[in-house]
This record gives sequence, C-alpha cells and structure tokens, in this order.
Amino acid sequence: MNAAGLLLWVAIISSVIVLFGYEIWNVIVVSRDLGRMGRL
Amino acid sequence: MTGLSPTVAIITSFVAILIPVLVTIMVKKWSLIRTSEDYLVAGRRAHWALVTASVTSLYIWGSSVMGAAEGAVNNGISGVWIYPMYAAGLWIFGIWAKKLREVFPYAISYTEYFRHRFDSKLHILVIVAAIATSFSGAWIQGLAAGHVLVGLTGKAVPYWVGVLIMGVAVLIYTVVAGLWGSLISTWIFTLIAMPVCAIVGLATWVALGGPTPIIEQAQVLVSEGKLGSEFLDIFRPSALINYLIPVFAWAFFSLPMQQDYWQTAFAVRNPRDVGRAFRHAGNWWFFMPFISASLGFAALVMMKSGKMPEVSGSEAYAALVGQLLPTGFGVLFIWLIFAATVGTVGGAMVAIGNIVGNDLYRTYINQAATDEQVTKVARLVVAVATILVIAVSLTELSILMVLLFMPMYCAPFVWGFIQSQYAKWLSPTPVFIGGIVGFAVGTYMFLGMGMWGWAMIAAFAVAGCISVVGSLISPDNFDFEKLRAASARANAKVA
Repeated sequence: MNAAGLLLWVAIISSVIVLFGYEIWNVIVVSRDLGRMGRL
Repeated sequence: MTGLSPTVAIITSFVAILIPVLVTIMVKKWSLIRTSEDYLVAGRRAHWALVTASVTSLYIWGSSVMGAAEGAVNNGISGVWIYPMYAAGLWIFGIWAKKLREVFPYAISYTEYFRHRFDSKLHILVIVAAIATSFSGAWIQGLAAGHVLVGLTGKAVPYWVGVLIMGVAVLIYTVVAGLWGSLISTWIFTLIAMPVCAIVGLATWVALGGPTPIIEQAQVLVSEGKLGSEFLDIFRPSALINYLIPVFAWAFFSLPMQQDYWQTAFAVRNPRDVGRAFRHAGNWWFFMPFISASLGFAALVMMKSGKMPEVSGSEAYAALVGQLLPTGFGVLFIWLIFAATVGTVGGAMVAIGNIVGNDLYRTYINQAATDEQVTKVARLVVAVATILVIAVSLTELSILMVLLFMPMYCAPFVWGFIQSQYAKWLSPTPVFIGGIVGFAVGTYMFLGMGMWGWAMIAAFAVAGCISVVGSLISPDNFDFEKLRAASARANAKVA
C-alpha cells in the first residue's frame, strides 16, 4: 500500500477511535463533576 | 439527501433547541448564577473537561466539515492532513491562556488586559476588533442555520425558519444562564455532533468500499492523465506553501483575539488545568475534520472518474454523502448544524455581553457600577446582540469576505498581546502604531494583491517589528504587580 492509501486508512480509523474515545471519557468525567455540583 | 420531509426537519430542530431550554432550567435550579462573574465566566468553577468540550464545539461548523473536504478536493491527498492542522492553534493557545491567568488571575475578558497593561487608545481599538470578531462569527452561523433546513428539505421550509429557531434557542439560554448555559449546552452539542461526524464519515467510506478502490481509481486517473500525479503526493509543495501556511496563520492569529475562547479559559476552576483543557480540545479538533477531509479526496476521485457529478469543492462533501447515504441521515445533519450554530452563537453573544457589560460599561460609563448593574447590562447586551444577529442573518447576504477579513484586524495585535505578558519594556504607543500599520499592510495585500494567508503573516510581522523597535527606542517599565492588584480589586468587588 502506498503512502496516500495509508493516510486515508489512518484518517478513518484514528478519527473513529479518537472521536468515540473522547466522547466516552468526556461524558464520564463531566457528568460526574456536574452531578457533584448539583448535589452541593 | 435533499428530500427530508419539512415536518421531520422542523420537529428535529425543535427537539434540538429543547436542550438549551433544559440546561437553562438546570442552571436556575442549581442557582449557578449569583454574581456577574458567575454569569460571564461561570464563576471560574468549570471543570477543565467541560471547557474542553465547549471549546471543541466552537469549531463544529460548516467550515470544519465542508471546508476540510474542499481542501482535499483542491489539493489532493495532502489536503487530508493539512486542514486538521488548525488544531495547532489550540495547542498553542493553551500555553498563552495559562500564562495570562498567571499574570492576570481574575480577568473576565482579554480586552481588560489591554486597559491595565497598555492604555485606553489601544483598549478601545481592541474592544472594537473583539466585538466585530464575535459578531461576524455569530452572523455566519446564523446564515448556516437558515440554509440547512432549506437545503435538506429542498426549499420546502423557508430560510427564515432556521434562523429564527436558532435565534430563539440562543436568546433563551444565554440571557438567563450566561456562560454556564453556554458551557453546558455546547458540551451536550459536542457530544451529539462528534459521533454524528464519525458515523456519517464511516458510513460513507463503507458505501465506497474503503480507501483501497479509491486509491486504485486515483492511480488509473493519473495514468490516463485525468489527474495530476501531485494530487497523490502527501507533501505536495504547493499545498504546503499555499494551504498549510494560511491554516497556521489563521490558527495562530485569530484565536488569541477572540473573547469566545478567552472566557472559557477564565472559567476553568484550577488555573493549572487551563493548558490541559485546550490541548485536549486541540486533539478533538484535529480528528473531527480528518475524516471529513478524507471524504473530500474520495469525492475528487469520484468526480474525475465520472461517478459523481462535478460540483465545487465546498459542495463536494454534501454531494458525496447525499449520493451514497439514505435521506434519514439528513436528521443527523440538522443536529450537527444546530449544535454548531446554537453553541457558537451563544458563546459569541456572551463574549459581546462580557466585553460591553463588564469592560466598556464598568470602565468608561459607570465606574461605580454595582455587580448587579453589571450583570443587568451584560444581559441586556446579550439580548440586543442576539436580536441583531437574527436580523442580519435574515437578509441571506454572503459574508464570507467578512470572515476572511477577520484575522486581518486580529493579527497585528497578537505580537504585542503575547510578548507584553513576558516583557515589561513593551510600550503601548508602538503596539498601537504597529497595529494600525500592520492592519493597513495586511489589508492592502489581501484586497489589492489577493494574498490571504501571506497578508496575515505580513500584518503580524510588520506590527511585531514596529512594536519591538518602537519599544526599544522608548521602553516602558511595567510593573506586573499592578495587573495582579487590579485583578484582585475587581475580584473583591464581585465577592
């Protein structure tokens, strides 16, 4: 596979992993913090 | 994907605006807004990860999806990675934001810094630039909100409906809930928009059969002479010069002059986390357009091989997705665009309320203003600014030129702003003169010579040289303790 093909694969796979990974991390961290604020 | 039923489109839009309404109720119930500081910078009590998501939302707009694909259509495979490099602006902004919070701990707006570090002439000039920047950003979002429903329903829903739905949503949450409303709403919208972007991108690539057939097709086009071989070069020299450099110029020169970003930096609970918040937002920023840009390359190959009608670069993403995905994906698009518009317009309106209500009003109109008066004025400004955005967006004017022009009046002040936080000898008058001359040089290069990216760099460099040389001739001896003292006084007043 040439560099152009590799770049497209990297773009697709890494974007999907990062977009969903950040999503899960952020939901957990922020909702926990907001929940704490709501209880105060 | 243009045949979406008008009823479905309008119901989807209303469901989207229910989020800011629920957020407003939540902010009221939790009594998060008690002082002007709560309203304008979320009481500096926001978790850094909330700020990360909110800053990410400032980037979710038509340009980051459509523009990313356009870059690949025009520049080939090198465009796939160059557009996401806008993220570098946030990675660097994190360093600057951390520094400003060190030297000016209780800042509410960045324009205030110019008042205390420099003088009133520079302060006023920067206020004008800051308001123009936030307003034009909101204006272009208002246009996008109008066009999305028109486009997806094949003109069955009139243009003004989208603008009005967006405007009402913004009005509700910003006037009542201020930056808290903006942070929490944009957090939710980011969480909606990011998976949408990934799902639409992935589904389109699956429909295309993955990158391998696209690359094979591209190689056939090159051998037939229908596509230049440079389109398959990931480091195409002309793209590095004419595309990457303007991307960096925009990222480095426009972000530091936008209150929309600064207010979120001031809202972070622990000042040590500010850099971290922006670094992670930068990562999020990078990967969102990465997948959209890869589809731009696919669209280029599809168009050149006659499998898709030829369209302009800016329409390529929508045309490709529209050709390959079912109509139902239009609902996701409405969420994506409304998430973008409601989030960014809300942030921009709070920014304008912040600059006028806190900085301009408290400095020049009513120096003895109580905290309640400041909050009231800020709320009023937010309401008026939002109504103005709705009014101007209803005209359907193309303001791309306004947006392109934005970094031109921001770039000349960036050097003075950043260096003055480190160097006590930087004087106000050279920074002021440098700003005016840099703006004139940049404007001439942009309007007279048609050079956009290089005009920004010239504006920045000319202004920087004048600021440094002028200050070396007539140096200042600024005492940074004054900033900390002014900051502490303002904080005590709020408390």
